Amino acid sequence: MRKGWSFVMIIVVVFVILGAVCMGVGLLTGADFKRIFEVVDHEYAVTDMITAIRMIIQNPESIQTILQNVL
Amino acid sequence: MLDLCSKNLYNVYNCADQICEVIEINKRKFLTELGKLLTFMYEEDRLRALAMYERMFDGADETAVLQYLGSPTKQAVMVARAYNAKERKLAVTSQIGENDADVSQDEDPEFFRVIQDIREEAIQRGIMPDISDEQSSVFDDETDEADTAEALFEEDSSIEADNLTEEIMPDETPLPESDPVPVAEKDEHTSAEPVFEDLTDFEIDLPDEVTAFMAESEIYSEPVQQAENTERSEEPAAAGSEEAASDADESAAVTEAGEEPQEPYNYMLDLGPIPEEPRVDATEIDEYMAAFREKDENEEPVQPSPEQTTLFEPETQAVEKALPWKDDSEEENRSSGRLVVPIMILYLLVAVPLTTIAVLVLLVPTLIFLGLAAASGIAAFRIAMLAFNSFAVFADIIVVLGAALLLTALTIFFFWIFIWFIGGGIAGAINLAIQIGSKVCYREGKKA
Repeated sequence: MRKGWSFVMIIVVVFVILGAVCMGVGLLTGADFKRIFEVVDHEYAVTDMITAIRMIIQNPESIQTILQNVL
Repeated sequence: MLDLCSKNLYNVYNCADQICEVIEINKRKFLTELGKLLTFMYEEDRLRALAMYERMFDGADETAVLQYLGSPTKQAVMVARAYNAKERKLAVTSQIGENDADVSQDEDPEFFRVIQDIREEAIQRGIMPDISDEQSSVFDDETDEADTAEALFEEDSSIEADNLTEEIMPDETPLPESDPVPVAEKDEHTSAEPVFEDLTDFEIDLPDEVTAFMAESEIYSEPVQQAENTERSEEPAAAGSEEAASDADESAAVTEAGEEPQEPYNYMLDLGPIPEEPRVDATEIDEYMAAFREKDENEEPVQPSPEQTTLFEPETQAVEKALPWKDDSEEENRSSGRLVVPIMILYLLVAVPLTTIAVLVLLVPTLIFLGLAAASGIAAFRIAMLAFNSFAVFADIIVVLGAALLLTALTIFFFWIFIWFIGGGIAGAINLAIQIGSKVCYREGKKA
């Protein structure tokens, strides 16, 4: 198990470092988070999902209306 | 014709090679060979015997002693006949267990007396110098012998190297190969003492000797022992001794006349009829071992002396390695304990529900981590696909790929925690329940 932990942790750290390097390079070369969020929102409707969750938290009875709209 | 010539040349070469090997035998080679042949003995006895043989060369003419002793195989056969492995096993076991200071003062083993007889006979013949009482006490000193033998075997590697060198190069004082004088005549000129055997016999009779030695060395083997006993009972001992005496006389006469013996010399005949070894009854051994175990259990463990530790440590380690049940103390306790059935049933009634609850409790975080791993994995895959499909700016693609890599790292981490919960948590809980059960349900005592 100890060997497994060390092996997995090495892989995780390598992936984290690679991801951080990629994000750093992207930000340095002119990436914009606003633009990226717009694309993601356009693909997966993230804003609508966030709005629906807020409504459910404020008024739990509205869950039926939301589910009807989604379905 | 050419083929015939090459065969003759080959025979001549072999003869010359044999003569060279005969001449090359010296004290070191003799002791090394003897040490290899005595490996059937316990290490302590072997070192002791070798040390005694080595002492025979002290202050004596090496060639004369070698001629007197003959081949290492002959000496090994004599020692093997006098060596009773069962008795020596008991003696060694008692030495380890009791750590008695008077062990060295116990009655000398049979092989020890045989070697002493050989030495005394050599002294009577004037081959070895007569050692005074003080020196003879040194001869009997075990520690000194052990030191000498150990020193001898420390040089074992160098001896092997020397032997290799001797095989390649001739000895320091080699006889010329073209020497027309036969070896038997040469022995008469060089030593006035009666020669027991020719050095040539060492090479010529080696296969027979080795066969005889191998048969004799299996003294622990019951079938071989029985077969030998039946053979001995068939042949009258008196006739055997007469034959041996007549053969010895013939060989002596031949040697005196300076003629080479036509038949190879047989050491077995020279040694006479094989005496029947004293047999130890199996029940006596069992009784002795039972008494020894009881005594050992009652007494506190005694630390062995440094000499004994160094002497028996490798053997003990080898035995421990060879015995698989020595490694697992739990298995030993379990097998020696007695199963208490009511406690076992009670334990099962309590432990099974508790273990089930523990497993179920552990399943909740396990499944949570599995879900997290799955969610992060799916997210990482989708983001990676999105980076290549929906983005046009290279910087944005790189940032999204970096986010996908971070999510992948999270996926791996969550999935490993899930495996750890299953293997370490759930399986560990079940193992713990089994271990506790084995401790609770078994009680110390005789096996039921």
